[in-house]
Amino acid sequence: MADIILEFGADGEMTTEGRGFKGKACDKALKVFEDIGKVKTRKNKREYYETETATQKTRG
Amino acid sequence: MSHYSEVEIELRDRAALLAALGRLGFAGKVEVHDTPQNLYGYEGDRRAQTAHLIIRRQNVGMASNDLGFIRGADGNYRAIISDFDGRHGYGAAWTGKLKQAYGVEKARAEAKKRGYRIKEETLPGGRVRLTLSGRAG
Repeated sequence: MADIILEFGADGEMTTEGRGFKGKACDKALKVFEDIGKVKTRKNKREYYETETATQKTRG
Repeated sequence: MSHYSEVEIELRDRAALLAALGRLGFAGKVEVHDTPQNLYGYEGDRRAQTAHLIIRRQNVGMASNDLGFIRGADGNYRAIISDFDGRHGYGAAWTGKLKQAYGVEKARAEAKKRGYRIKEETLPGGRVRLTLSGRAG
């Protein structure tokens, strides 16, 4: 199950985080929320570079 | 997870801005105009500044001026706040809280449209967290 965590500071800044996504599915899910403003920084996690197919093979 | 990002919130959506102002105590107290209207000062003097969204001074404070938001060519709303009000409760801290409330309202609306389950929490220090879980249906 994938979750999206959004945190909003009293300084008008927001952080977004995708949990449980594989590959670029996270980009698509988070984009609509990132569009609430201007993205200042972005950091990819290890899972970003995993594909759904590769993950299925590992689990299988 | 696959990525984190940091986003500077921009006031672009009228409905979300109205909902945010509601969170800050101005529900039902905001005039909405398609054509910008003049703001008035604390003595009832008409100011040259105009705005699409206006909170009249009676709803702001005893010696306050009207607060306004005007939509620019870039689609962003810009707050019009007098120097006096900026020093008396409507300065950077207030506009920060407004952007925070706007972000929460805009994110909730987008999440609802997409069928996410939404959990809202206020964290120590005043941060607000939304957890959006798997889409319902």
